[in-house]
Amino acid sequence: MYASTKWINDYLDPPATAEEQAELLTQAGFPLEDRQEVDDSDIRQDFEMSSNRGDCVCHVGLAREIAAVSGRTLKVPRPSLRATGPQAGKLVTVENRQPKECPLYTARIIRGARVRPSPEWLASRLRAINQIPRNNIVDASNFVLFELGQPTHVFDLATLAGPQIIVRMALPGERFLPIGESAERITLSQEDLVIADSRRAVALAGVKGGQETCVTDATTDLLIEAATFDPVMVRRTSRRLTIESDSSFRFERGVSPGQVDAAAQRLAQLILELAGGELAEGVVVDGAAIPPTRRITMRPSRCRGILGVEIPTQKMIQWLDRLEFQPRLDPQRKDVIECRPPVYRLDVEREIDLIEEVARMMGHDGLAVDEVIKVRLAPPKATELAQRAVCNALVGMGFVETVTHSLISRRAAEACLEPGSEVMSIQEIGDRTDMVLRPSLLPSLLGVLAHNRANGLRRLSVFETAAIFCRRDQTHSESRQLALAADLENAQDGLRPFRGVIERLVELLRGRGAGVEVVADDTFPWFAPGAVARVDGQVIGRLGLIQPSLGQLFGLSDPIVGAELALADLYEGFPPDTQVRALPSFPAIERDISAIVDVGIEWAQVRGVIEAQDLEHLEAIEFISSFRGKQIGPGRKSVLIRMRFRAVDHTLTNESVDKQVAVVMEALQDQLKAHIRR
Amino acid sequence: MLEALDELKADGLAGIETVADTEALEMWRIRFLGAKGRLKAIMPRIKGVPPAQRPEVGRRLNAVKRSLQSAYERKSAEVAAGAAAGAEIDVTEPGIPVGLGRRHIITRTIDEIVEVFGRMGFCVASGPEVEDEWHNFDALNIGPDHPAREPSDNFYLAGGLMLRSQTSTVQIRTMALTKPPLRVVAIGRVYRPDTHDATHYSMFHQVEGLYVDEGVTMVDLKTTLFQFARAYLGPEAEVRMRPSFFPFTEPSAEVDMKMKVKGRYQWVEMGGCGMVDPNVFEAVGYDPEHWTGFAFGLGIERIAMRKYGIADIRWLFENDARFLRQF
Repeated sequence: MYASTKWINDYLDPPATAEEQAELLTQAGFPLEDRQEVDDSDIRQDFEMSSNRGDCVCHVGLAREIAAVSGRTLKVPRPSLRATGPQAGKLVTVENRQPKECPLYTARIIRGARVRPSPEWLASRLRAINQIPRNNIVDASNFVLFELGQPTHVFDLATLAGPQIIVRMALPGERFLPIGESAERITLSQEDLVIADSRRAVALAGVKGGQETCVTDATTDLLIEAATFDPVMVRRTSRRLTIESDSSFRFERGVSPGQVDAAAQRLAQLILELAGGELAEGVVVDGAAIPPTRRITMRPSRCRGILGVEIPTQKMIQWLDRLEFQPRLDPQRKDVIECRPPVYRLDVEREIDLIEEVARMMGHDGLAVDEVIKVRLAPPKATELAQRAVCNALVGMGFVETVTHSLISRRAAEACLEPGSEVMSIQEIGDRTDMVLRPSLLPSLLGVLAHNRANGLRRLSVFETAAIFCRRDQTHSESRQLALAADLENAQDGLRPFRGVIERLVELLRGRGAGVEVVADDTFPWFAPGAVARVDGQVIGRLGLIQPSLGQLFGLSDPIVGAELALADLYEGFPPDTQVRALPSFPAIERDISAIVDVGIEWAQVRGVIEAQDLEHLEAIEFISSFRGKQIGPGRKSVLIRMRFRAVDHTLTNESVDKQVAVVMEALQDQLKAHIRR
Repeated sequence: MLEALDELKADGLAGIETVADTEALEMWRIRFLGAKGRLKAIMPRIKGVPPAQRPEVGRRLNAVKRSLQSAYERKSAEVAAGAAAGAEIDVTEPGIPVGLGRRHIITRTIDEIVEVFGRMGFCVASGPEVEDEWHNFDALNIGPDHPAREPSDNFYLAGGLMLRSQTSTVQIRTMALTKPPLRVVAIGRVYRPDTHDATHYSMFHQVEGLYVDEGVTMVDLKTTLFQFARAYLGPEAEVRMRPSFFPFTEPSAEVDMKMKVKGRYQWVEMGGCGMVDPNVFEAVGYDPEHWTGFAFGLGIERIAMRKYGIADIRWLFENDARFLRQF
């Protein structure tokens, strides 16, 4: 809110400089956002308003806070009115049909006023806060708004049919022309509250006046509206029609019925001073009774217990008194202060609200920092440690971690959706209609690879850990995924680079010797070819080459290898129990075999045949390479296998190993129709 | 045969003179001494030599082999010594990049923060990003008519679900499952439909702390934040609290921390904090008369952006490797 330093000082004794005002209001919870010098040696400061303090969105409100925090005296104008005209009720009728949306509606009448430019003192106050002065009547209404925080509206009484005021909901399709130079007629909904005369809507309640009934240079007779409206209703209407006004801003934060009449009197007094005229006797009211002052109690011991500061009870009473809460120490119960907060403090309802006021008055600088804190040791969580170990391992393997948005395009999401699942879409807001929660991180990673490739960066390996979402069987699921993607450097390698990564990660999580089983699987069409990876029979994820059509979606034409892993189960029990093995004391003997087999024969089969021979002293079977080419012939491939033999208690001889290798060769020939080359 | 052997020896010894590095040496070895090298190739020809000459050819063959081998060993030692002496190495040539990856600066910042709070006894709690309105609003004392619930300010999903707009939801989930005392930090993604610009992104990360015990005070809150600032932002870091308003804490405050920005200590707005509102305790079934607690929420992006001089929040989510590799 824009505040004029001079204007605030109108209510303060002694006055405060702009710097003092800013400092004191920051301490009270309204930080300074901007400061600007304006003419007339005034300074305009912009304070951030909190949503629960509608009472402070005005100069008296801010002055009141400054007075309370600094101990200055607050001087609030007390209007005294002299009515000389007839009974107001004889000049207009008010019918409030919506007491819930409009708890209180009041109307006062002034006849014979003269509309003219405002005097300089008034115009300069308004200019100081970036308002454009219009005429003495409109400016007076604005002045009261910025002085007391009570929005009012002045109608040209002669334009009101009846003359009658009806507070009602808008009729279906009802049209309304708001005030404003370029305003156009708008269509209201039945959820909008309007002020109407006997023929039409003349104001959008709490939001905007109507052009057809506003004060013009020709106006002489005035109806002064002062009312309160439901904050939610005002906000909804203001948002729906995208009309924001200083009035709606205040009503949204709550305006107490208890302050309405004082503001109306202040406005009437100003108009009589500035424009002359005759005030009709009394006020025409339709609304609920003003709620009585609340009594709220606070235990000083509780206050000290929450804040952690030994504030004497008398000090608390003094501070609450400065806030005009009328604090009183209950004579029967020593540890109870009873307060009756002023009507405008709609936010104060509970003991904790009073404690907050004490903290505010003390200033949060009064909270002294301790040197020590009490600590209960929290054991690290396996999941957390494992997650971090996995990330660090991937970084060591050259992967760059990404953080990408959870919302992606529907097209990309649907390309990576498991059969039987649906994507979860967000409700439409503006143009963001086609965004959905991603069911896989792969599309995002492909986007990252594409972005980097556009900048000339190739051969990039990326990973991300984040939640993935989908809907299945009427319910939604959210789970953590670790996804990997990389440009495939050598097409011959196929899935081997990622399989190596996965094996290393599994080993990290499960300990040495933990095996990963990878089998071809074509049920996930975004991979071609695709495979699932299992550990101890449990599926931990899938990997494959990205389906070219999905790559195309991101403008990627070269082969990309990707993986989607769900490692949560493997994180349990991390770190694995490690027991070292003594290093072997006897040398190993290695033998390579080159077996030419049909291309359809998988490595897993080759390995299986060798394992099935149950060879003595066989320590390891390694895949060295596979090769296809002219020399080998169509439909065949050469697989180079290395076997390592070692005994724990003696040195093996070549003869004993050769015998075993011969067994393997025979088995490969028999079972896989292999042709063996040595 | 003898001529061929002499020629082989001459070629070999001449060739090795031009060898300057290990790579060339290996090429030489393969060419002359390798399994398919010239020496191996010449050996079968001994069968065609008349038996009388064989002993001499055999001796010559061995001599050639020895001399090539010793030349190889000599050169090996020379090349190795040369490498050590750096005689032919340009030390000013640039380093060969090491293929190490990178953590994202956001997740790295998260890990660092978790680590500091871990030392203060906070353990990590987590909760879902797809939430129901009760956890995101009602339980946090944000009533049905509160402006924070406006459809334009949230990502709503079908079936009363939404993307959480704050990590305070994890407070509720943790308290609903755990009996006090408890001390947790929750870190994660939150979502608000802001239009993307240099300082706004519709997804960002928050760290949320919660401490509930008997006799927890606002001084404890400030102390915890202060200790964090000193541990994470440096020995001269300071903490300032300003009164503010949040529905789920009371008293509430904004937290500023004095941290090094471009070499100079400056006040930076870090987030909000306060004492857990009694209504929140009641929503999760804690007796607010018995337990007190504090909660705070800090913005990860804001911390990282200030700390590393990141001028545009979008850089964080673009994932340009040239940006990510700067950390």
